[in-house]
Amino acid sequence: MSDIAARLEAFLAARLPDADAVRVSDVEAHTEGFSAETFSFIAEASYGTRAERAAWVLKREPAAGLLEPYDLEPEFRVLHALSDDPLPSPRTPWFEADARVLERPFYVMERIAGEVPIPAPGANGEGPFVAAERAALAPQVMRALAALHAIDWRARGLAFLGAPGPGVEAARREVERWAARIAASGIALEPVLAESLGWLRRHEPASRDVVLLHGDYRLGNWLVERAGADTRLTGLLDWEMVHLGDPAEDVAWCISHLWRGSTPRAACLASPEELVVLYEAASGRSIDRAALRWFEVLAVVKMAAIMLTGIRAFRDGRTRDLRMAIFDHQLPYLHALLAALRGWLPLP
Amino acid sequence: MRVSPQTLLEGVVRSLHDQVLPHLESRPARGQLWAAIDVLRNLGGRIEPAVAALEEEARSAANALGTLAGRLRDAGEATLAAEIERQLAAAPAEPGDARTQAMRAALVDAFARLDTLPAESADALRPILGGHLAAQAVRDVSRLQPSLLEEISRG
Repeated sequence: MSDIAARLEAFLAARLPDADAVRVSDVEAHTEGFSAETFSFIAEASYGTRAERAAWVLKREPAAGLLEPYDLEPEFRVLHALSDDPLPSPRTPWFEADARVLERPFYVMERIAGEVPIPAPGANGEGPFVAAERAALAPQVMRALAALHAIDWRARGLAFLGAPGPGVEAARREVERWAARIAASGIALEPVLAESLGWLRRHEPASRDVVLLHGDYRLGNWLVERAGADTRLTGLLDWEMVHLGDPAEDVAWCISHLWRGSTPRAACLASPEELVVLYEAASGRSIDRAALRWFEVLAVVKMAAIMLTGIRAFRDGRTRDLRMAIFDHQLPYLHALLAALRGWLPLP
Repeated sequence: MRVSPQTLLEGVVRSLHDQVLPHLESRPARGQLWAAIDVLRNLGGRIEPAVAALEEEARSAANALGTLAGRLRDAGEATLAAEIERQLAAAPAEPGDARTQAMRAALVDAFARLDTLPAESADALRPILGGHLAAQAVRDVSRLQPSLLEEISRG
């Protein structure tokens, strides 16, 4: 970590030319994310007798992993464009593509206060939140999603993300994106995935709107400050899968069984229908339930594709992260969930 | 099998050696970790594939595919039925990974073949294979230990 601190000091000194000196401390690697490497650190910049101390987070492309091949630049460009937006996205001033600086490309964003609750049953099986926190958070997360989807992505210069055309193109592009990732893993296609891909291709929904999608909008990527009924959503994290598409895609990912932590609640917050209704009220947009169901199946296929990518990286010895290996025995849960969503098994 | 037990063991050894050992200062704890690495390095050659589980899957898949072929023949789709039966006959007879992989590939192909039929016919036939998918998913999940994903995420 001392090596990273020294390199960061040099990096920041170049970006804060008015500072007499920059000192980096408290560099800490974080384990919550399974994809890009995340470090937090404190930077203290001296300006004569005055010193400014700020907490930052650095995200660096991993050598290999779940979303390879990596390119953090689109994510940075979106976060940078949204830096002054009321949306709880972190102010993100710097991106560095030069691998000589920190071995791989990275960007730096402000550290936002809060913790990252994860979708897990918790000690009492109630999930990560108590009732008052759930009641406070559910409307906030759906309002934030509606606010994200309301962003004028053309005006913000985000057309570089590539807008799908009208009709079924948004849905088709996503199913083919993840099918291609499954194929690229080189791991033999599981029958349940083949069946689900076939169903998705036969039932592609037409999109009415193309909006800016987070792509990974879910419990586990939300920063939260707990205070009972005053619990606040303070930040939206992990924008690696940001893209343009159908708003139902983010809603379906958010309410997916994947993030229910063995509770009956979507995102461990409320019933799936309650969250969808909250989103509809906040966005003024109605979500077609058949399309939502389609994107729920896509969500599990997408997660399987991500896991297969990690498994392949581990199998090839391109990552030393043993966490990639656990996906080999996590996949059967996804297969069971797909079988349920497709109607072959009762839903959990 | 996506990752062999041998590859998993090599990964565990690599992780323990490269990412855990350097951060362990207690000499007794280091001794225990070295011993664990030594055991794991020698375990790979002693693991036998779980043939019974693989054969249970292969048998279930073969039954579903055989039933599907029969129903296709009854429906006048003799060519599709023959293709499925040919794949079933070509699968290795010996229980094990190769036979199960062949059955999985035959299922994937069968789903693609059903897509060539009129929608109503295909919809009526898919549940034959769907029943196998459901049963296999339940069998696979029932063999797993409770997940430690929460602990892994929190560190």
